[in-house]
Amino acid sequence: MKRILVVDDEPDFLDIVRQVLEARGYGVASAADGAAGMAALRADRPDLVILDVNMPVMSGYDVCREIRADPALSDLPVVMLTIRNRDQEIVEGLDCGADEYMAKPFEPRELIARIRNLLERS
Amino acid sequence: MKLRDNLTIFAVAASAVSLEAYIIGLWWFGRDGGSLRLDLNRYLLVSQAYLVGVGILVYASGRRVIRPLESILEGIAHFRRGRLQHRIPPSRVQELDDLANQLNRMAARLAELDRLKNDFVANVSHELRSPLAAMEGYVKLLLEGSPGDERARSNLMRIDANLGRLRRMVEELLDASQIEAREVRVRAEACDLAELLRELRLLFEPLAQASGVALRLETAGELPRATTDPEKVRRILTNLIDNAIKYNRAGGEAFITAGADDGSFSISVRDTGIGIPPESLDGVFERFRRAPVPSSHAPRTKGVGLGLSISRGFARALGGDLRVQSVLGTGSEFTLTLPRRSAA
Repeated sequence: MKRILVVDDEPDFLDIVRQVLEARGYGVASAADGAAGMAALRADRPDLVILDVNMPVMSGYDVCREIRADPALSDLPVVMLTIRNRDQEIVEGLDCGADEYMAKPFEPRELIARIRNLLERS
Repeated sequence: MKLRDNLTIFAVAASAVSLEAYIIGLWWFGRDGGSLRLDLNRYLLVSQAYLVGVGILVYASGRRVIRPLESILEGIAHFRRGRLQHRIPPSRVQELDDLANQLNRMAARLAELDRLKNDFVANVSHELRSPLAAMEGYVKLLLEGSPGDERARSNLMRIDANLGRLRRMVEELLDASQIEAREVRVRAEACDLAELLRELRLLFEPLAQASGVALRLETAGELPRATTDPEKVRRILTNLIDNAIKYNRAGGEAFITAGADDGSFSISVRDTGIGIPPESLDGVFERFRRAPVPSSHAPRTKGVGLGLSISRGFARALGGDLRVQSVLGTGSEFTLTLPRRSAA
């Protein structure tokens, strides 16, 4: 079973993403802010991480940059999933090293398709 | 009549009166001759000089009042046009200086209120996005998971569509507040405007057909490549084409024409719709302003009235502009001009 860590400070979104992923048989762990997410990643490396952008303590962009800078994590697939959906912010998301960028609200099927692609590639 | 004209007339009149007195004196005393005449002559000369002096003094002190009054009027005109950063210069006349200060303070207060309103709109719309997106997320989950009941499914789809509409309105409010705060970020890249126009035409074809409007694209062949923010251009044109269909009549037409010259692009969207009355033309780009719509069109024209204001804001952020021409009952034409290269 592939394991996915979801990092988001909004409980509703953690819940929505968890429901979508669990329905497809993925194992889901969650963290409520960037720093907690980073700690969870280092303690137990998942197969993929989904990051919200606007979070207290540490933003999704910061987490993503730290993942890319860490030799043990640098090849981890990263999906940015955020309420921001302006084009420039998508580019900013990809600049920090994210593999995919999706806006909330998302189509569950689209999220799954992208995750599946990333997991097959890695 | 202007105060300045009054003063000029007074000065001229004073000179004329004194000159007249001088001439009459010369004539009167000229009959007697002698030293009396010389004395009186001197007296009249002095009084003439005195009158001219008074005239000049009145005129000069009048200028001291007029000039600050003119800058106050100028300042009020600036404020009325929304240029609240303008300041009326100080005056040496105490009362007028007080007046100028009061007006300046009023303008500063208005600017402050405007900023607060803008921040408020930005914050509220920002905060609204999360719960809206969460609701949309849950509705999509329900739609995914409940293939069964047809009625329930159709109801959920309606909720989903309405949440989508609400989200777009909130995004518009956020866009408008960013334009207002001059925080629009431009991401310029090479793009093919002719291709974008073809794409938009296809995208709007179903809406045009459903509204009984013929949508036509007329470009003079291929357009040269532009360096601009394609997402913003798309937003502007989407809004214009949507309006051209929405504010049209059944059996009407909407034309998209595009051309380029040395320095710029020009894209027009023209409709054969209800038009905009001349007195409303200036206001169509103002925030929350909507073209007056006959009740027959009302159900089709829902929105917050930010579309054109955002479109013009984006056009200007790209270094271009958006203008309108309209004939009531005949139709409107919106023309977007864009420079070949928009500064990023």
